[in-house]
Amino acid sequence: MTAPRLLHPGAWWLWAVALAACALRTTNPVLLCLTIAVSGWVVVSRRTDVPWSRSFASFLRLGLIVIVVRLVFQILFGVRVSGTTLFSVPEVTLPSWAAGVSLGGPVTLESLMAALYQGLRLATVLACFGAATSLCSPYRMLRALPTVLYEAGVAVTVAFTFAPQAIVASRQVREARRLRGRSDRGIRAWSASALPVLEGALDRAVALAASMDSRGYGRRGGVSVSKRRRSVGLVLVGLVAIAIGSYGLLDPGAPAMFRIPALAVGVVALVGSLAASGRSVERTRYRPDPWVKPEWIVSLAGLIALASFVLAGRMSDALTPSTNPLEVPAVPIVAVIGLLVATLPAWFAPTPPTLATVSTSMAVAA
Amino acid sequence: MLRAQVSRVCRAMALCCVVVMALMGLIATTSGRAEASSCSGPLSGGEIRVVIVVDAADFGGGSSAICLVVPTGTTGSQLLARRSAELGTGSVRYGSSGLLCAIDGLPATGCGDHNAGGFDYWGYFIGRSGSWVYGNINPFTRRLSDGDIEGWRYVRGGSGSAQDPAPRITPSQSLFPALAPNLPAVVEQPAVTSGNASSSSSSTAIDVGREATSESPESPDVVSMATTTLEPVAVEGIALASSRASDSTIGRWIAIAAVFLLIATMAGGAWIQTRRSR
Repeated sequence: MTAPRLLHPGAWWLWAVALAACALRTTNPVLLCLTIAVSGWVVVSRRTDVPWSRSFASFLRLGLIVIVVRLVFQILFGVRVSGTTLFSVPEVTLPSWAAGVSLGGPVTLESLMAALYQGLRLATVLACFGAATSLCSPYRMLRALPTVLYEAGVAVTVAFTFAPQAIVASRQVREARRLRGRSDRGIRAWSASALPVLEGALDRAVALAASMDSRGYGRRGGVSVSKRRRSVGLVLVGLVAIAIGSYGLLDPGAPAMFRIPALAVGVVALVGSLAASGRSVERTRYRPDPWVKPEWIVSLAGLIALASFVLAGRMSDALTPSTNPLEVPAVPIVAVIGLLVATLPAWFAPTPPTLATVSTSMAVAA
Repeated sequence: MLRAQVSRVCRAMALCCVVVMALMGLIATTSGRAEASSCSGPLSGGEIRVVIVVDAADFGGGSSAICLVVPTGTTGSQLLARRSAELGTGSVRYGSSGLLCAIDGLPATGCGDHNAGGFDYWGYFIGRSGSWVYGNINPFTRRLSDGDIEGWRYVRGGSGSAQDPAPRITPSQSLFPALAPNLPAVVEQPAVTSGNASSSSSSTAIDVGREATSESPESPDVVSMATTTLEPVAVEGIALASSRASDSTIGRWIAIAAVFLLIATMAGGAWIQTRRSR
């Protein structure tokens, strides 16, 4: 086992995004539950001792809320489908021009199961995101970003630090409520603290972005205005194209045009922006995170899981079990093996340093 | 605090698993109704006669109209399932969103796919006073009444609006066979002999060949009528469920149990790990 150190945040994010992409490819509840379990197991094994490492549980809770909301929406507004009627909600007959919308009506087991599968899929994606958030420091992720993204400085900072900051803020708000003798549980406490938590998290993220800006993050140096505009425009186009392209790659239902072509356009635009801004601005990195064997293992474990899902999707249609007629979901063994490979980081990633190991290593260095 | 949180997470996970498994257990208990009545015989109380037209000529299938006796309150989709069971053409296939994908196994794959700037899909039509009206209604919620005519046509490259072509068989009341005391609107009596309408379920099917799919099927002589006498079939759920609940289902349950055992092991291991680290 290697000495305790922090894994490169990019490796954790790659692993988590690959798991989320697995979840997006399937509605099989067995595989989705296994994906949540795998991410949870790795988080418990390799998380650091910092405030945002608690965020996994919060994301699981958020996922539960998503499932419940999805089911309630299906019961109230969902498209009525045939099948075994469980119960009926009062039906509102809409005029003929709104015939495509249904309000109330018979609720069938089939429609509820379809809604449950979809809600579970979203909850799994949230769990994967929570795993990435609790496994690596958002500040390190910010440092590891490619230079091109510095253009979008504030937006990138807020995007990467908002969720962890929200976790920290919610803990502080809850502690403050408890110190004042108020309950920190239940719906009322939750609704009372929602606004301060969101506000606090955004304030912190923006403050961080401002302080980074004042220290030269995203600084352009002596570049002319027209050149700067051109490069900013290219970055914007490139980022949008990459967002569309990666969405197209992860969602198997997206049209082919939104996949590789969109990604290629984005990469070309970003490279063009780098060239347009010139190499006048030289950036250095202080103690960059290394990318060595454990990083490779973690990111490959995620990618192997994703590949196994793609393979399982090609081999059979067990990834999307039928809900109409309802069937017992089959378990594609290839996908299960892939997910088990994704648990490897729980053993092969280096253990994160605790306060004790940090002080001993500093003592050794001294 | 961390331990409490993790144990709560574990409990939530276990609860999720239990809920999922319980709901899946319900799958095995799907049930349906069985009935047998004749379209040309006298109707008993709580029964209605409806005609369902299915036009798959654009896909290479045929067009057919069949008269069925169904209980009052039957929906358009239940009628479709009933028709498939009567004709023995396999169950109607739906997508997970509830979109109807295939009738009589046509098309074998795909569901409402893009084609020629539009969609290939099964259009739903309702026969009103001799002509088809595009069904802007959910067939799962539309309740049929006596003398209704339902139409389904496989539309190629359709826009999903009232401009899409309707089934080629005109929805006239002549589609209903004779002997209809509850139906005063029968115009003419088709040459149909349905003698054995006693115990077995008799349904009248009208088949239109592929060559006879002219766009103006006003004259009923292109429509060749045939009387099919079917054995009473146990319709819907039970028959389908029993044919599916075979060995493969048991194997699937075992696989699911194995995976959930794995998940439980992971959750337990995670819990112990956090306990030890605190």
